[in-house]
Amino acid sequence: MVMQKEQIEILVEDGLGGAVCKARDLTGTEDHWGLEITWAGFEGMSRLEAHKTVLTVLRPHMDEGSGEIHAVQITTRLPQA
Amino acid sequence: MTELREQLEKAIADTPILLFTKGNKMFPRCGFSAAVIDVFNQMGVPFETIDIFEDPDIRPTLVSITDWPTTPQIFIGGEFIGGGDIVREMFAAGELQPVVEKALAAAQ
Repeated sequence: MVMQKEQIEILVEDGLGGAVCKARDLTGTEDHWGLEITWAGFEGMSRLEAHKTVLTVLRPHMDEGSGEIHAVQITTRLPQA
Repeated sequence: MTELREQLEKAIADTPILLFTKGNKMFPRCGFSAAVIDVFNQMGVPFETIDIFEDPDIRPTLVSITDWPTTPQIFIGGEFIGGGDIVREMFAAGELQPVVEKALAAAQ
């Protein structure tokens, strides 16, 4: 059971209110995702905090949870002022 | 589990640059682990890897220490830096070198 591109984008955007997420399938197997996330909420966060915040949203769907997502490559960005 | 946790915490404290990876330095068994090993190879700095597949308890113990669900996990100077993405971002931004130099100097 894997997630579709739109599903993972919605999952992130719902989890981080107001975020914009662009998902890219890294391996063609729909379980290794490159995620580019633009969100004002990252303001003032260290890279570690920003990535941890994203992972908190994804964890129930990762190997510890349902396993739909095997690996993610996260890039966090602030919206252009 | 606590004995393993103590062993891991000791390795983290005693090793300036320590990577928990799938596979090891010579034979990484995951693209993300290989990519982060490559970063430190490019920097030409001494680093150690612990293969989480060596013992099935390593991964849950590590997750209980860092609360970080994925692999690889990178520690520099005894501090959890993050996963492969963060290390690659720091490397690209030139922020990794000073952190590495500080940890290696402290270990002298």
